[in-house]
Amino acid sequence: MHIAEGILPLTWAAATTAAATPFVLGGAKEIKDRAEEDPASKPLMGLMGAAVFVISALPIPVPIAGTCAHPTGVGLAAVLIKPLPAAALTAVVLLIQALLMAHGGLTTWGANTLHMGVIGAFVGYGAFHGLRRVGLPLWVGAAAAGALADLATYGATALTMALALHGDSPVGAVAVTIALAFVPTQLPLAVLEAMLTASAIGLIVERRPDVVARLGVLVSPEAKGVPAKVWAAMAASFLALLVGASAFMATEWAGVDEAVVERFAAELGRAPWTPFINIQGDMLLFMFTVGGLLSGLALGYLGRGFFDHRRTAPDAQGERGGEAI
Amino acid sequence: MAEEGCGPTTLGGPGRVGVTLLAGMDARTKVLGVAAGLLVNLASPSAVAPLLMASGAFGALMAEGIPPALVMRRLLVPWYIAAVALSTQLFWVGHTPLLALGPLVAHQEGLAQGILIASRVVGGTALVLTLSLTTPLAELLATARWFRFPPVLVEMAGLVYRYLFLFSEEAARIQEAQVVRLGHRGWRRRIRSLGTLLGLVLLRSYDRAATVYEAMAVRGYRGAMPWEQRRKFTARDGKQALLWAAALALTWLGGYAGAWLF
Repeated sequence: MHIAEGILPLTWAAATTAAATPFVLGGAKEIKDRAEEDPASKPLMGLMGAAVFVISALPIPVPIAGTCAHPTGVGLAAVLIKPLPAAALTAVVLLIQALLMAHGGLTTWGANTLHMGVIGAFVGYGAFHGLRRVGLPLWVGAAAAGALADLATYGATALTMALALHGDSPVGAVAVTIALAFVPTQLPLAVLEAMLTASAIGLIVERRPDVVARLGVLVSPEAKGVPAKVWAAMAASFLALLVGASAFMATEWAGVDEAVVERFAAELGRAPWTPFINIQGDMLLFMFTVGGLLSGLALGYLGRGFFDHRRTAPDAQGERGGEAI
Repeated sequence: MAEEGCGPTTLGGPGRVGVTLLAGMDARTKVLGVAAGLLVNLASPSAVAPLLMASGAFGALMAEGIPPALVMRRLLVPWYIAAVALSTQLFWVGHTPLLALGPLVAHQEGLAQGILIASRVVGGTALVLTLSLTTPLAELLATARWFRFPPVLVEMAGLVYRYLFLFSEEAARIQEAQVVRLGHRGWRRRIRSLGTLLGLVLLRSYDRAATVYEAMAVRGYRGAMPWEQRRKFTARDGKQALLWAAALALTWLGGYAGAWLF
């Protein structure tokens, strides 16, 4: 996720740092204000930052890839300590990661902070409280915060890298290419982060309501009805986004099939013919994507059987051992 | 991270402090030098300056006695990213064909741009390592205060770093207990266990915060940690700063010479 040192050109490094700085300073001010009201909150924030660092370094199994990846943890942080302090703490964490582990960099610190600390935190916080206001259960809001913060972080990273590095290729095509490169790990990871965030927040709310009250996690615990005009505005925004994205993608790039495969096939005298089952629109693409996702899940899960020989008798013993414990 | 990042001396790991040229250098000189070096690295029109910077940084780290294996481990991920950047720029940039792989055409301009970006990644990360592997955290925080960074952020950095290893151990301990109780058997159970682990780590962080605050208050904490720069800037430090500036100027010129030659 972190953009490495030296990847972004100087102008982009300066611009993203300038864009992220006000949020970081705003977060620092909020942390300071809270500390003046409650001096114990400062060590708490430091500990929360350390927790975010540790959480973002936890290995998570990815069934499709058969490997491990890492959550961002920023959705969880934004829900627990509000987005601006989360942005400031993320900035600090990213700085330490750049120095300690060479993950990210100093000239890309602004871009990484903007993506993960600002965009990720605000999207996660907005999703959590937006869904809570609609009246959906806590776990739905928490899951959405985890997943959307993760996806927003990676989407923003893909867009920034495309804008900075697209060269002579169309920005949209490069952005989609980079975003697609993230998909094999990030899509399952977003689902997993949703489950982890929901589980963690559920545990905290259940076991320590005093912590929840002190941090102000549930500022609007009572579900409120959403006015019809808000629903209409949300639907209109979604439609506008959908139409805009479709129009942008249609004008910018036609897809690999049309732009490359069909053109070369036609030049070689193999013009496309009408398919036997003619599905209109993007339904075929949608079905292909869903089929690929399900097949990937099945292969990732069942594929372990080819390599992991412990899943027979020792497992049964393990199960009995677990019951005994 | 945990096995090598716990070095008590420097931020980047088990580096050397106070005995060699870089380790004994004033942290303000190093921070300014690295910042200027990163600017030169990004502004260079050719790969010559970043590669000069990388070789200089490696040489300096070897002279400091930093184990080469540690440096290589730190650079593994950035170098992988550099390779990816090089391969993508080949196809995204330029019009002059270099190589055709089916419908994909690599361009000459893309090769040059890719090499430039990859060299910037290598040069930049090597330069950052010279700072992190030779400077104790306390010195870096004091330097940040000297440069008028917001005190609250400096303090957060100190606190986050201090509790980082504590939390790694805490998380590892909980995870170990879960593994012993077969909480990680099968990926479904593993995910549920990780969710519990996440919540428990956060709750323990909260409880520790209260304990830590009380302990700090007893020791005289009144809302600010004393991260102050106490070292005086001497004539020796001035000479080292001049040496660093001269090396950077030469590197910068090398970058332009490289662009002119190639």
